[in-house]
Amino acid sequence: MEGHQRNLYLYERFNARVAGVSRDDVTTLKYWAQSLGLSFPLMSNISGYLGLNLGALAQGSPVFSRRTVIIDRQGMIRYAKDGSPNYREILEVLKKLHEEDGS
Amino acid sequence: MKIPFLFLLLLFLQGCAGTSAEKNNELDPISKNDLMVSQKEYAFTPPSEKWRPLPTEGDITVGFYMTEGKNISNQTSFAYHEEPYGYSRNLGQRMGEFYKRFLWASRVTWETPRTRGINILGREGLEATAIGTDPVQGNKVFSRVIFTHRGERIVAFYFTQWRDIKDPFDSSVEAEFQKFLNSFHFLKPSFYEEL
Repeated sequence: MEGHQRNLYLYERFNARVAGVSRDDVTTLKYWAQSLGLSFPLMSNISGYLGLNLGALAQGSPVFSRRTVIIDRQGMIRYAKDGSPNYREILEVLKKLHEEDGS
Repeated sequence: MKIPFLFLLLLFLQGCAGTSAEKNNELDPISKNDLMVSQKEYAFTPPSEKWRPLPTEGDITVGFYMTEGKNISNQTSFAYHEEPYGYSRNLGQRMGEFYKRFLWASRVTWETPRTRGINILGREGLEATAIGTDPVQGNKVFSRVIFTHRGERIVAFYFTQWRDIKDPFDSSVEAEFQKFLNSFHFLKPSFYEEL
């Protein structure tokens, strides 16, 4: 998450916005974001439907698995990867999409 | 519906703070001019043979360590890091963010770092020194961390020395770190400068 905070100025440059989604409650996320100094939104999705829709919630699991998803301006998923975020790969994808988009 | 921007959505299990394994820990042989090259990007004078390369997973880009005597806690290391803890692009703010997390897994309590402005790699830098203690394990650690800019981002060099809380630090080995610092240079622009 700190890596995303570090890259916020680059996401802005590529006209991208970042948000995190977790099954933790709002209060927990609030204090966690404060402790890490995160300034981008974290969403509490206790019911887990976002993780289910995006393939990050295994059946019976109480938590999401780690997954990074990039959605384009048309709402299409253009990148999805499990595990620790590969920040450089994410930036390269965002740059490419931004160039494709011409925005 | 058309949204006005690309959207990067992170689904996460809270508390996972791992970093991606995107580095190649490749150290080339020492060249004729006595320089060692790492990852085809970083060149520096290597330390003497008693120093061993640090594994580059996690928070190290390139670095070395040595253990003195039989006490495993008597370890000294130095490293260059492309992505030091923290996120600000202001040297002073980054230093504060850095020390909130530096050696967090060792549960070190840091004293307030002493800082001074320096020139490093021909550019503005900030040097911080601080001693941390781990009263549970009975260890202490001396740290000297140098922050500077590389393009728009902040990078850091750091030196740490662990000792039993009753033993003195040995500043003589810091000369190897200084040699590393004095010779260190980039062979090409960074990923971020080329992005």
